[in-house]
Formats: sequence, structure tokens, C-alpha cells
Amino acid sequence: MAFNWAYNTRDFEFILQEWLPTERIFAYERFRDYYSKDDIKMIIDPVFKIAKEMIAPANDDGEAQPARFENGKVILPESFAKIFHYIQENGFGSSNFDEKAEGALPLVVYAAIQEMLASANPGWAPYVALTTGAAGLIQAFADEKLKEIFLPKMFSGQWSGTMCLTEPTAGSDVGDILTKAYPTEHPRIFKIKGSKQFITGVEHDMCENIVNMVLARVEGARPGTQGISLFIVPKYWVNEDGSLEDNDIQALGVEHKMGMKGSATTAVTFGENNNCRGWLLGVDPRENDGKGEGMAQMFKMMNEARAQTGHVAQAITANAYFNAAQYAKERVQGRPITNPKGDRVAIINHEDIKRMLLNAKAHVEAMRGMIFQTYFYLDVRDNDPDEEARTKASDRVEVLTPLIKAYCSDEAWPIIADCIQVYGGYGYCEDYPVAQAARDVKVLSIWEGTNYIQSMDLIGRKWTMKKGAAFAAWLQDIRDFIKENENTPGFEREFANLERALNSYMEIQMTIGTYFGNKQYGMMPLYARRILTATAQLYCGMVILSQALLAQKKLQEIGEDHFDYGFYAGKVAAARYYLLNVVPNVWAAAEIVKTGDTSVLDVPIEAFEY
Amino acid sequence: MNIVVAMKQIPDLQQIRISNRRPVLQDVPLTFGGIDKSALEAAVVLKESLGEVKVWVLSAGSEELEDTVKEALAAGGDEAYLVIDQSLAGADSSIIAQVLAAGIKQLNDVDLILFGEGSGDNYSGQVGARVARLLELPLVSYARDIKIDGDTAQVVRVLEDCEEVLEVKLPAVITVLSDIGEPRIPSVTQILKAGKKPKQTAELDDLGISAGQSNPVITLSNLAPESNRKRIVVKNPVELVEKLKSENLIGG
Repeated sequence: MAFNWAYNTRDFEFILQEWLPTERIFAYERFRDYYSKDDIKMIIDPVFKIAKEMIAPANDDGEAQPARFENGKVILPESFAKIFHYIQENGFGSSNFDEKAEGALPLVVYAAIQEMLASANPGWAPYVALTTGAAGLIQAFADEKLKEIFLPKMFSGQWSGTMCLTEPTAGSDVGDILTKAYPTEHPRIFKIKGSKQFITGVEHDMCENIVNMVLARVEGARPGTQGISLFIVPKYWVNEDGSLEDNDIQALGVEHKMGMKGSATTAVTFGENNNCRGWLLGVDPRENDGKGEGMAQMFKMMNEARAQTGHVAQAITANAYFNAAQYAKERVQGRPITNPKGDRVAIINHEDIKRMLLNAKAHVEAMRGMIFQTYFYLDVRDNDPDEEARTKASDRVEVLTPLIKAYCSDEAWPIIADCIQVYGGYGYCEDYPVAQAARDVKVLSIWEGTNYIQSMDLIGRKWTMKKGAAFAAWLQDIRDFIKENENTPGFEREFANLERALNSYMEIQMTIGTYFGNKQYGMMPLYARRILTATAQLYCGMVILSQALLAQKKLQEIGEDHFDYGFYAGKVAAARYYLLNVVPNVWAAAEIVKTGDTSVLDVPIEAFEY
Repeated sequence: MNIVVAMKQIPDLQQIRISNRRPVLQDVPLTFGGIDKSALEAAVVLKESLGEVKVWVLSAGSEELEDTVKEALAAGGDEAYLVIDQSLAGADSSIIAQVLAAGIKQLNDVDLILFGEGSGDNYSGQVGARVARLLELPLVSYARDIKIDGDTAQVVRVLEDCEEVLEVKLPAVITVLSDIGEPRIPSVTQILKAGKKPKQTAELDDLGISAGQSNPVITLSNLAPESNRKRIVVKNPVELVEKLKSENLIGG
């Protein structure tokens, strides 16, 4: 095992100081008076050092000593607890989301921290992210008393958090969960009984208590998602005097996964001895016609978790890319095709290696741009004094969330495969870092709603949200960008491709609309994944091209000897590559959707026996 | 108790590229020197052990200092005193020492003044000693450890082949080695508060120093070492051994 964190943070500075208008975010009441966009480096540099010297070295521990199950307990590598508490106690984790704390980092800035921590140790990072998410739910939906009990200790890292949705018989179809909540004498406290599966962090030895956010159905509530409620079900029940007592939650064992081995994925039962209690959040379904608020509440966390999932995928991919590029510069093998009798050269000089690296770099930077743009919108949504601005930003976030989750976690897999390819045979060996990246990243296309679910969310909900107005406005952003910049000298082909992709995308929407009108409902799920990819490629095309326009201006101001020349030249090259090699997939997708092949629908199940 | 830590703003060494054997310094981001950061860490450690200590960050340089200093305030400095003048970027040690000494005179009741043993760029190691002379204070150099007891500092001074333990009455100037302490990583809270910590800025005129006195150091030559591979090809191990012998890389 030889994990190597090879990160470079220059793109964070570019995004936060040069590309996005973050001065607008820093001017909001919650952030002003603390720092400005000139201070970005001061925030990024310490985290870089922490990631390099503390978080990344613990990565190998997760591989060598995976989460293990002994006598009903889950044991993690010792280093995991150390770095968990360091990050939480020093404010780089959950406490940044404490609404009562003095000052906070904007989400768009915190995104850089998140990316560094996740890429440095993907199997450990979920413990922090889940604690943040669980605390966020309590902060949003619990009463003051519960907030006082749980939040200070969760923000400080004394306690951790989880979210418990999936059950052995209900994963993507969460509406079919069987976990039940039975009333007690206390109107807000219920007895919880049921089983959950694939729960990250529900049992471990890092913290003195674990606060689980559990979806369950109150006895007598409606079937399906409508009847689900959300409960705080801590590992140890917190008594009035603050003392802790066992809450009848039993871990059943950890999964032996292909990657993220330090992340304890556990099956668990609640209330095996009929003595597990949970606090209800939100309305009691017995007083609300059987309807619970659990799904809506959980979606607050899910949406954030989905964006985070895509971001982690992008982060792991970026680290694989940085490693592959570093290796390709050092590994000498073969002679140039243009000079077969010359000296052997570093493999980065070979055309196909460069192609794979530029493909990886272009995707990584385009995805990062899309992700940070979304976090920017989240800051606007949560802080702008103008309601119209908040609504506009919220609409953009809604559209972009499934794109981030699914596109980044889908593309991660083939890009990391290319990074392995760059290493040749060594890439297939665990002694080199890229094999682990492939193993770690795969789950991200599955958890927090599979990528198919994201695709259906896009075309089923986001296309039609606000009668289509929200998505139309999102498309209009791309049209406006083209109109404002299409005459930029030197980028004619790139803008032509972006415009063609936009027009093709409209054809996709019209074609799907026609299928829907003809009641060919199977065509939507059949093409949804392909459409989501095309949607993200269209948007990422705009993102990376807008970055390139800025980089081109910088190149004109500085000489080739300037320390930043390579960075800006790389930005322009990555954008050209993306627009000319990736974006054409949008019109290919349009052709395929228009052709409307139904062989998938038509093929008999029996065919899969052969 | 007031401790002043003098810190020099220098180009971020991590960002410097070498082109044609010369460092490319244009637009390179600025930071404080590594040994200066260790000096600050030493001051913060003293503050933590003694309580009732104020740590001043003192620096002279270009206007970018106002941003650069936040890094030091996040790492434990309580207040900054900055002398800002474009002519100070690259000024020689005697001018910088005069400016810093004049700055220190503006602060009340200074007990201890810490410097890195040398700056991260020129590393001339002169400024601490010059300031001590100008302020007529005792100087202890190359400190690895400092303990304060009342008005006395006990200092472990590292020399080439031995260590001295010295006592010096305060106020005094001490230059420190990087071994004195690894600079801490500030927490988010400290980073957030850094922007709100007090800063005093002064210009050369305020200190009675004329800008024309500045005498910039001119670098005549600054070339990275050249290393050329000899590209010797051998056909067999015997030939390899012979070649290595002829290059005096193995014994004959």
C-alpha cells in the first residue's frame, strides 16, 4: 500500500480569487469583517499542510487495518480518531456549519477544504461529513432543548453522526422501509424497532456517542414515503442529567468492501430488546393525517450529501490524475515516434500518455468548476438579502446537484482507469496509488441515490420544476454566455461547438417530450443516464471555456518565464480539449435519443441467460 | 509583558520557478520567512506558559504586508505594527534595522524582541544584531530554547560544536533557530479572528526616516547550479567498473 497525496492547490486560488466573483459572498453579513478574497491562500495553505502531514499518512492505515468487527464493536485505525478530533476541534469540520458560532467560512471556500480532506483520505472523510450532515438536520428541525443536548458535542467532535436510510429490503425504494416507531408516554419520544444496512459510521470507537438520524414509520402512518418520519436515535440515550445509557442498538458486522476500507459500513438493528428510543423531529404523523416529514427533512441532508458525493469523486480523480502526471514525468520509456533513433524519453512525451493526462485534467477542472459554481450559488441562496437572487441561486442548485453527483462519480471511473493505464503494469499493483483510487471511487456512483436516480431526478423533476422555468433559466445562462463571448478571437471553434451542443440539447428535450406525449414512458429511464451525462457536458463546457477566456487574458499579460505560465496555458489547453473532444458527445447523444432504439426494452429476459 | 517578533515578507519559495538558471520572482506570492515563523511560534509558546503576554508582529515592507500579516496574526500574534513603504522592499539590512528599531521605540515597554537567525531570502543574519546595537540592548543569537523567569531569560544557544546556556536580563534581543519550534497550523477560529485583530501602520516619515536613505541590495548574479549528465554508455559490467574508477566514484 502506497497512498500518495500529490495535490496541487493552484486551481482553488484561480477559482476563488480570479474566476468566481467571491467578493459578493465575502460581503454578506455572515462573512464580512473577517476576511476578503485576498485571504484565500491563508485559508488553503494550512489545510494543505494538515492534509499532507496528518490526513494523508493515515490513509494507508485504513487500507492496512480496515474497519473490523469484534465482539459487537467496530474498531478503526487509531490514527483515524486522532485526525477526526484534530479536524473537528480546530474548526475545519462540522463546527463551520454552526449557525451560532462567531464567523464561518463560506461554503464556496469550505469546498476547497472539503476537497483536500476527502482526496487525502476518502475512507476517513465520511465520518466528518456525516457528523456535519446529522448536526445540520438537528440544527434545522429540532427544538432548542435537543439542539442544546446534541449540537455542541457534535460540532466539537466529541460525538459523531450518521444517517440511516437503507434497509436490507429497501434501498433505492426508501418508501418501503420497515423500521417502525411506536409511541411512548412522552409525545416526542418513540420506541424504534427495525434493521438498517450499509450505514457508515453507525458503530465505531472514535467518539463517546454516535448520533444516528433514522428514518422510520410511526405505527399507523401512511405507506410509502409520505408516512416516513425522522428520528434522533443516539447510540447512548442522553438522560436529563446528561448521563448516557445504552440505547439498544446492535451492530451486526462490517461489510468487506472493495474500497473505502477505513470507512465502517455496518448492518445494525434498533430495538432488538424493545428498548431503543428516538426523538421525533417535525410533525407527528398521528396529528397530520398519517403524513410524516421525514423524507423532506432528510432531503435537506441528502441534497448536500449528493453534492458532496460528486465532489469526493472529483477529488479522488484529481489525486489519481496528479499522481499519474507526476509518474509520467519521471518514468523513462520508449522513444518519440518523431525521433525513433533518439534517446529514450519520459513517457509524458508520448502522445497517448499526454492525451490521457489532458483528458483527466480537463475533466477534473471542468467538474471542479461546476462544483464550486454550485457552492457559490449555495452561499447566495443562504445569505443574499435579495429574495429574487436567493430564488435564482436556489433554482441553479436544484439543477446542478444531480449533475454533480452523477457526472463526477460516473466519469471518475474511466478517468482513473486511464490513470492506471499511464502507470502501465505498475498501475495495476497496489504498491502504487492509483489502484486504490479506482477501488475507493466506485461506490460514489451508488450511494446517496444511484446515478440512475439522479438521472430521473434531472429529467423527471428538474426539467419540469416551476413548469420548466427553472431549467429554462439555467439553459439561458449558457445561451447568454455564448452570446456575450462568441466573438473572442482564437476560440471560434470552441464556441461553435458549445452552441451546437446547446441546440442539440434542446432537441433531446423535445424528443423526450414527444416520447412522453406518445406515452412511451420506458424511453425516459432508458435514456436518462445518457441525457444526464450530456447535460453535465454542456454545462462543464461553458464552465471550462469561461475559465479559459480568463486564462487567455492572463497569458497575454505575462511572459513564458512567469511562474504561472504553465498553469494558465494548461487552463486554455484543457478547455480546448474539453470543447473539441468531450462536448461533441452532446450531439451524439441527441442523435441516439432521436433514433430511439428500443432494443433494451424489446430484448426478452431469457436473452440474458446466454 | 510585551514580546515583539520581527518578521520579513519574502517571496513564497515554493512558488519560485527556475528559468535559464535564474529564479523567476515576478508576481510570486508573498509570505513570511520560515525561521521568522518559528520565532513567532516561540513567542506564542512563551505567552501560553507565562500568560499576560502580548505578542506584537513587527514588519517593514511593501503594502502587501497588510494581507501577509494576517497569516502571523492567525498563528498567534496579538497585534501588528507595520511600517509600509514601497522603497523598503529589497532595502538593505542597515535601513531595515533602523526602521525596525524606530518602530520598536513606538511600542511601550517591550521586554523581548525575537528575530529569525536569518531571513528566508537573503539570509544575511544582520538585522537582529543591528537592532540590538541601535537600541543598546543585549543580544543572544542562535537560540534553540528560551525560558523566562521574571526579568531574566535563560537561553540555550547552539554553536557549531556545543551548546551554551546563557542568562540575559530583559529587555533583550534574541535571534532564534528554526529548531526552536515548528510553526503551528492555525485553527479556523484563529484564521477568522486574524482579520479583526488590531494593526497599526506607519510610514517612514512617521519614524523620522527619509525614504531616500533606502539602499536596495542589487543582485549581481543568482544562478542555479548546473548539472549535466555525462551520458556515458557502457557495454558490460567490466567497462562500467572501469568508467566508475576513472571518474573517481569507486576506489581503485
